[in-house]
Amino acid sequence: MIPLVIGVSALSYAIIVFAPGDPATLLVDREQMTAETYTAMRVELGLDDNGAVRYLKTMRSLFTGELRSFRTKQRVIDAIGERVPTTLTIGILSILFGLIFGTVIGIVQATRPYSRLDDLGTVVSLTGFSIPHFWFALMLIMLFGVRLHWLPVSGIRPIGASDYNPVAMAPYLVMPTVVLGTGLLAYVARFVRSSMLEALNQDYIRTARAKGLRERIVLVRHALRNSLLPVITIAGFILPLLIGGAVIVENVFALPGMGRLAVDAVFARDYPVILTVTIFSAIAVIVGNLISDILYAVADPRIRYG
Amino acid sequence: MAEVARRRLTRTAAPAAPARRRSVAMRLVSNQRVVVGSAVLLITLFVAVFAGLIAPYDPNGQLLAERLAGPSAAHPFGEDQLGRDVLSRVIYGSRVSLGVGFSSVAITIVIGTVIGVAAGYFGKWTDNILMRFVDVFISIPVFMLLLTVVAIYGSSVVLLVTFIGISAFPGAARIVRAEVLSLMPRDFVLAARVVGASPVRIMYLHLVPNLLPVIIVSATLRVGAAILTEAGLSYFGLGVPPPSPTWGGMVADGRTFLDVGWWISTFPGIALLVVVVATNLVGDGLRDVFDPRRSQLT
Repeated sequence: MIPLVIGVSALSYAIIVFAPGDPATLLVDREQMTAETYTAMRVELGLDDNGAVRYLKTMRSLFTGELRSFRTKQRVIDAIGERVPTTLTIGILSILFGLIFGTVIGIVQATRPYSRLDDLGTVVSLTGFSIPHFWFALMLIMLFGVRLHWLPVSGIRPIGASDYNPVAMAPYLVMPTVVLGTGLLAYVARFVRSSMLEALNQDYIRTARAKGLRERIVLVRHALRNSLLPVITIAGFILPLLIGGAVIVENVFALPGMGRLAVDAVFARDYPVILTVTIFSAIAVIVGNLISDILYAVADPRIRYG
Repeated sequence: MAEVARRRLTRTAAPAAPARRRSVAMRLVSNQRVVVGSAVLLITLFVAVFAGLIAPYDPNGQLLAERLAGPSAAHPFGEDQLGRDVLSRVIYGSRVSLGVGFSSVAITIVIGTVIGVAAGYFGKWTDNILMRFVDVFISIPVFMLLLTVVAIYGSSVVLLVTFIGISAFPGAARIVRAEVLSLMPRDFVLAARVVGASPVRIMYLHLVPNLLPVIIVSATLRVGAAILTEAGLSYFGLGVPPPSPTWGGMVADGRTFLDVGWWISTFPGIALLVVVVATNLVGDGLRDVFDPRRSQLT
């Protein structure tokens, strides 16, 4: 895991370090730049050290929280700290949304395979995979915000801010959650459908039915329990999808989260912020993978590592 | 003698059973999803190639007097904020989506296959190094990486295709490697090794042909994702530079006119959705045909 983090940080650093243009000239007004201010700037930014030293220095300041934004001079770690609650809230809500509705759709499909309802579910999950987040978001805004005025479009306060009122702000979270959760819903529905279908063909289901258990018990206690296992593996690869989705969703809905911070930083060439956000999200993905492996081993005693 | 044995072995090695091939073709034609999806894709391809003949107007021709005019008989998809015909722009936009989608996947597949085959065939430290490299790449959220890279290094069509293509290679490499590992202990590979075929020959003649089903399925499923990625970048203004109309860019154009010009964002988005659904249909169908065992896993 540690080598992975080192690899990720080195790769992200390399991408930024080879960017054309001299950071020292980015920060100072060209008109006022003299030879002295230029050298001073290079020293301040540590540009005269060699590559490896610069990388190590940057990583040290990144992980001790001393790295500062080029633009606002704020500590990057603080900027991220302000944004994390919003992104996390949307992320968790959309995971819940995707898991719950995806599972329900998958079960309904599996219990009536090849029926109209099954086809409908397949269409829903296929669309969920294929729909562009930014367009889906705009369409929801147009329908429920602009036309029907059911939901507010923008103007949410940062979650965790002192004047944040969860009840008043809840409507702001509905559309982002739906947009971000739809892709996940599609994955889960497919997974649950296929693994439920497989489970329903097993002998233990016939046994359960034969001993006269009610169908609901058979479905939930016997089939669903066993077929939810592979869903855990999804946990490993949904995180990159969610992070990518958050970048888009937060920007369309003007949510003050990490995704928005990242895009603003990209456009302002605010390299310390880009670097930190990239490395932190990669760490989140790595940890997510680890957790999904562990959960899988815990849930399925047949799996042993090492 | 050795020559004869080698020839016979290599012939049996790469199985080319015509009977099986015909049945695959039959199953392809009788698979509803493949047929519907390919039909839609072929129509889109036709539209993209002959955009100049099909589009009723110049996609960049502005008629400021008619700006934000709604759908009408003359302009079925309406006109945008500069009075450009949305239908013509949607038609031309298919070129970017299909072009970037398919060519970036070609890059993904080439890189993924080379890395996957090398890792799977040589194993040991080659495998270790290549796969750790893949692990690093797979941990970084792709879209964020692409935004950064495109913003820093620019977005000509060639760069864009290259970046999107490279960004997806880890998944392809993993799939190919897994498949190679399952082929390695098979008799035809062993036989080829016994007669002393060189690694390159084994990889090229024995492994790659047998990888084709897996590669084709994963490539098809990746086209949709690549199209969505390109559209996402274009939405942020980081896609193919103007004046070529892109569907993602058009959706972005319309975002400030949701109240007075719903058609500007709606139609290019529908086009995106239809094309991506079509590629996913084909991909799903192909997977059913080539590999019924794994039909539902993504």
